[in-house]
Amino acid sequence: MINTLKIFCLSSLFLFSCEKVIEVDLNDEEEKIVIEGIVVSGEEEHLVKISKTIKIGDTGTFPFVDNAQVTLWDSEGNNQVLTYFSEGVYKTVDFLGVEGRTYTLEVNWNGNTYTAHSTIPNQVKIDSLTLEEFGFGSDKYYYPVPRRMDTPNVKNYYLFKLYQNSERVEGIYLQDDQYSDGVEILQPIFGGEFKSEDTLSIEMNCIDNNVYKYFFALAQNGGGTGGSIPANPKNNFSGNCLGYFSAQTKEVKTLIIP
Amino acid sequence: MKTRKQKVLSTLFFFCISLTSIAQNKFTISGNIKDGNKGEEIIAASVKVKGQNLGTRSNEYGFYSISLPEGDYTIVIYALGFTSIEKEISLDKNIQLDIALEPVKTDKTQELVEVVVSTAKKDENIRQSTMGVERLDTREIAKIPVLFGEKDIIKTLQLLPGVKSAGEGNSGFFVRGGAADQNLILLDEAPVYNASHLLGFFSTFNSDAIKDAVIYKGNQPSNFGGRLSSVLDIRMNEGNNKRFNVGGGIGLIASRLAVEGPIVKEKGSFLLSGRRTYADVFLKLNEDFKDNKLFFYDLNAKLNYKISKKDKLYLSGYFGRDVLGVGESFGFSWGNATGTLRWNRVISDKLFSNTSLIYSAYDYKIMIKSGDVDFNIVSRIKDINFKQEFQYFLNTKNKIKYGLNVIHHTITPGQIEAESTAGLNFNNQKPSKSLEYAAYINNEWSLNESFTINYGLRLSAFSVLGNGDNYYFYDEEGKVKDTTLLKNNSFQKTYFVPEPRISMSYAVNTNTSIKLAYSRNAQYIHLLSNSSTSSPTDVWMGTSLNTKPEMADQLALGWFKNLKENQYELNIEGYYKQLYNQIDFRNGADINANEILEGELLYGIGRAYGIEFIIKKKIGKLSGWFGYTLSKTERKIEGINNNEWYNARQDRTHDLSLVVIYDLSPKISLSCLFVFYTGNAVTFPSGKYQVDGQTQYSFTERNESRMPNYHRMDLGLTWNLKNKEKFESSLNFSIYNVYARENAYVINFKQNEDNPEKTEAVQLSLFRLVPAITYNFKFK
Repeated sequence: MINTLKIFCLSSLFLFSCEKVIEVDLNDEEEKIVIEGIVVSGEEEHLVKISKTIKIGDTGTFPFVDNAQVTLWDSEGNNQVLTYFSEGVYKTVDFLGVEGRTYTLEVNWNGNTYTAHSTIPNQVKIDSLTLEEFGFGSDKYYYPVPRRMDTPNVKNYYLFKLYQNSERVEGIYLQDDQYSDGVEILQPIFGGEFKSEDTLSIEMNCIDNNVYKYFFALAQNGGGTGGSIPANPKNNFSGNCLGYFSAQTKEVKTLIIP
Repeated sequence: MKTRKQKVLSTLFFFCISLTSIAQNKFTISGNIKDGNKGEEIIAASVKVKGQNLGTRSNEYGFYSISLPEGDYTIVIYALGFTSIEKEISLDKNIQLDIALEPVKTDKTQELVEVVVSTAKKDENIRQSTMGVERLDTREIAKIPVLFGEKDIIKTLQLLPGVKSAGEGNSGFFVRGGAADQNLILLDEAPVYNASHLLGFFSTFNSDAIKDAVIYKGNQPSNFGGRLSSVLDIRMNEGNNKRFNVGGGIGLIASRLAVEGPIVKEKGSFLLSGRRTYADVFLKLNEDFKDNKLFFYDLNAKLNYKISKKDKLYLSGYFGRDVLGVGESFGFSWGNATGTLRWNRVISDKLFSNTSLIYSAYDYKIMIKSGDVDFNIVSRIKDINFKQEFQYFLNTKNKIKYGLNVIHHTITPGQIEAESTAGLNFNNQKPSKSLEYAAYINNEWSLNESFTINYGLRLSAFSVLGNGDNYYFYDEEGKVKDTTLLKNNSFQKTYFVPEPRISMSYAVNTNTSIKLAYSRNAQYIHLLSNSSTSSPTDVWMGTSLNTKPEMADQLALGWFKNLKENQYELNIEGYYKQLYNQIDFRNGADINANEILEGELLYGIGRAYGIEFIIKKKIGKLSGWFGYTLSKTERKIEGINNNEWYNARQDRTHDLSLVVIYDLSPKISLSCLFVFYTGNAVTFPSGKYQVDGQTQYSFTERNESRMPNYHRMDLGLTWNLKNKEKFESSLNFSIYNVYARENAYVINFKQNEDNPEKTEAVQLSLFRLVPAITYNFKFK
């Protein structure tokens, strides 16, 4: 928020600033494996996507890995080897995600093993989706408020995805209950520039602490030199890979802005 | 063992001193040196015995004392900007001699200035043992062009070698590889915790109220302490004690007004100086921004009163605040408040005492109002500080300072304040409390004509006090492994650091000297910043059970030469600095109001070395300096960059500045400024990948890349319109970044809008060609 404000001050007040695309010297690195695994409570088909990094100066699609062995366990002893689907995506069949269970994901590829654990938190449900209106000069913007009763005496972490007219709004939106343990959470999600007549969809995931920290760090990276010093965020995998494994809940609410 | 070592050291001290103080039939001349026009005390005025290489300087309060054998002398008294005077003295008893110096009249012939200053023999830089010291001339500052025409001590300071600006227009600075929080900034002895306004574009020092500013680049004498890299000692004006003055300035973005005058003529005076920006007035004109707020103000006030011939009281204060707001929903304000009560007493003609009681505070407040939720986040650091110093003018060869200092710190981390509790349930952390103390002794010893030594010892300590709250211990991963309840105000742990300081000067001849200095500095409170630019919300944190005091050892070697009868000063200094217990964050740390913040910290070491070169011309129609620094600054922190050395963000290979002031006529002076420096060390992405349906960047080594080189030129013109008995006025024009160089402020990596598969580096530049005009006036 502070950085946004800073940029706002710089650009709007002094009117001297300017932006341009420049050439900079960049290091190239060796390609790295990227694993993104998600287990959702109440669902039976869970997806794991395995891809690779490309050089920063390269264009083109991200290469995917189709020859890994991917296994999922839960804390009840159930396990399953995932089947390859397409474009680097592996899927489970009839493997139920249950709140409170800890899941283990193991990926074997190229002689390396990558293992991660994640626990599905008890779900906090959205009671109602309301809007918060902000006037900025003559423009009016709306931000979603997913009202919900936070579970007391437990640390809760929330991850949101926003869709504006079915299109994903860029950015990572997170909340925790540091200041609102066990009370109704009324904080808006400051994402997108929703306007009248837009269709707003919000997906809320209850996630565990490690996944929250991963996304918190990822969000701080920003991709520029203005914020915190960027680095690859620490994830819950053992073995040197990028990405994360999240066992989580999922709830989607939609409304049309009046 | 430790105490024994200290005993030995202190014995040595007094031994050295007593060696040279073999009794003779000596008498003392002492008194105050003042500005004859205003009654302001003059700091660092020289008192010399004509024909002999003996002398002293006035202290921070204008007091001087010199002891000489019985006899007849001619004493020469001079100070920069004043006409020097000579006094014939027949010394057969102790003499009290107050001296009033008349300021040099700049509107008379220029030759006069030159003659006066050159007879004053400006060879102080050769004789003084202290090194890495720069005294800023406040009149020079007024002529140097700056952003938006707001003359600024800190911006001028950044033009000196070894001092680097934290970035475009930023008032943060780095000294010899130190971080921004490793500078002790004192305003009338009170530490100023955040010396910047408006996200760093202006400093908190309103130059109307400033009398003197000195920076010590790491090898400070032992009366200063508490920070690793530098001390910036700023003293406020006392106020004219002869007549009332009203002065001020009207600028593009801010206006200033200062009032000063006697309370009781010749006995006491006051000064009140204020400044406020009015960018918010323009905001109101724009429909889009009319609900927004953005301004800052400063208020400096000072009172002094001479109670008796021997006692003088000073009360000074500073209050400044920034206010920023977006509509009704978001507000942000921050500011410093300081207060200093001082009592000077001349105990004897050789012993001077100063007792200070100091208050110093910094806070920020974020106001958030959205729908039913309405709360503030408040964070504060508050110091109560007691200082006692004695200055003992033992003889012409020894000048001893000793004293003690106790500071009580209260640091309140981000706390929630809310009137209604809708949507809120929180446990505020209790403020953390600590005591910092120091005892010191320092002697300035002039061994003979060519050799001077300034040596001393500062013994500092820090006690962590309990605050009645839980305290956490962490494992290597930063996870809580143990918790303990600390009883309120209980002493938990005390750290001691002996800080030896020594600097030596050997004058090879009358215009060349070699200097060597070593010092150890300790720092007990730390500013935690995980951002590459400083922010008002950066967190101050005290040394604790987990976090040890920061320490630094600095060794410096210098060569000083004056050329062409002291017209030119050439200084070359090299330094090597080793830093211990340096603090950094884990990647992706959550630093705001985090109860387990220390779990996010990593510790390590640092090193910095470099060579500084400056050539100055202080007198004549053409004056200014050329400075150049070649340096390297690195950190090595467990858990960062695979535990390898990496470039600190303030690492800058080359840093060059050129300042030229030319007095075209008594009425008009021109100035030109050029700076060039290597781009900061930054971390650019090296690869990209996709996660959560979005493109992310991957990184390899920390701070391996460089921002583009920075350079710009500024021009200034000062036009003295009137200088009459009752009124003077001047106009100041300046152009910042005259050739409109687009310097990179930040570089962002983005996906090209037309081709999302392509990543491009987008540079944001701030100020290109910013003209400014300021009108200054004074009613006398």
